[in-house]
Amino acid sequence: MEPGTQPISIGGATLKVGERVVYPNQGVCRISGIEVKEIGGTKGEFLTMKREEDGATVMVPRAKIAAIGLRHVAARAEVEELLSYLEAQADDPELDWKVRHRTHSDKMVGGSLLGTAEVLKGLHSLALLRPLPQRERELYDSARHLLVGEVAVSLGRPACSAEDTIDLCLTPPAGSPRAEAQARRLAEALDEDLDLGPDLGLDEGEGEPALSGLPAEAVEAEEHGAESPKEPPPVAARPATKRASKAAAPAPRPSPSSKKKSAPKPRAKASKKPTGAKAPGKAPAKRAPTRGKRGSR
Amino acid sequence: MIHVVTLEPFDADRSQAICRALFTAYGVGCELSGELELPDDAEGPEGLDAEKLLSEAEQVKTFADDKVLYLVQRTLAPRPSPVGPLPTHGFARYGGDRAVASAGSLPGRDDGEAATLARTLAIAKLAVHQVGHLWELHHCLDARCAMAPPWGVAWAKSNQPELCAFCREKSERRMKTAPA
Repeated sequence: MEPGTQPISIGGATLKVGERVVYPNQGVCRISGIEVKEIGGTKGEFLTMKREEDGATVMVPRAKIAAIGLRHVAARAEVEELLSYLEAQADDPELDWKVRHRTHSDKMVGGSLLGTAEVLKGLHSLALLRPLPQRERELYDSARHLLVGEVAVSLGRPACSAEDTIDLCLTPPAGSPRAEAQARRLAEALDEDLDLGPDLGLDEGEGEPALSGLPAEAVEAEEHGAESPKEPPPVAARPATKRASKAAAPAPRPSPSSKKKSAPKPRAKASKKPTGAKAPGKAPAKRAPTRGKRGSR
Repeated sequence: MIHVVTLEPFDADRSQAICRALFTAYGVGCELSGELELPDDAEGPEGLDAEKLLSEAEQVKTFADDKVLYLVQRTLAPRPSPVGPLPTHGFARYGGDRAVASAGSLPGRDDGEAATLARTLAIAKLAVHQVGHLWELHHCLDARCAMAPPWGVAWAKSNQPELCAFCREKSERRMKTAPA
């Protein structure tokens, strides 16, 4: 560190100039020094870093270093642990979008390696059931980007190899026993006929009547852009899975938001049995006009 | 501009088809920049060393934001990783300017017209995938997208060398913000 300044330590280890650290939600940064700056008439010490990805300068006030969750780059052993976690069978994805959004946001802000991996794995397993809404797709990409950057630095390998390593855990090669097991589990999950409607956010863009029916916290989250399906990705138009086909197909199941509609459409009787061609539903028909409305907000 | 350079003999029609696929996927000019020699050091017992190939391959004249894609016929050696050898269909330096794609890593043979066409499409899809990494695109969740992991079950099911809307938008953003 520069002469005349107190060394800064995180996790019991002193930070040195040139060392790499991880800034939550920003990625791997290289410490360039401690600078004293006067901002608003007050002098303060700032830890200055350069983000490795693009060279952007990041300045953190000394007092905030612990609070923002700045940490050292994960060791190789931690990365190997992380890869074992990614390789293991995924838990069932969280279906309640509010809970999912809150949990994922907390994990991303926390910035731990495992937390970021949990977001990635959770959204990956959800994407096997149905296409992700735009915001969650962006979150997935962001989590992947952060993870790839840190794993690459930790293993001392190019980013391409780091991403392939992560994906070899998440997506087993075709014909491998893990791929077959994953396909079996997915088929079972699809056959369970889970209620993937409103909780997954499929009905969230219903406009004001639906919004007013939500609890205050959910409304707040909605107003802050918490809800993901602001603009569903085009892939939703061509569902990849049987479940996705069902979600994209008009669904006769009533939802909390549809109950609030003044003139509900007569609905066909839903079959409990998950068949490939499900009865007509509401999802695309209802969401289409709302998308434009929400987009103009 | 994307420059396609063959390091081993490639069928002219196939090379042209790859250029067309790259142009369609990214909306930037793509030209066949000829054939160069394969670096001797890149050869290994298990196949070509992709990283070495990229660092030692002859360069073609490019401008600042141009990308170069090398095409080889032979297989690329699997790269080591903590979870075992990585299937290596190609290799790219993220955000860099050079990538390599290997036709030999893909299954199938040029037996008959339909098989040849399917194989050409598969190589074109791999080319789109590797060039995508040069614009910092990550692997995609959409199985039909060219950016999906090439070893996955779903990748082989769709041969179309095209990007999903998310990846296309992201690549466009990257191109706009790329340093000149």
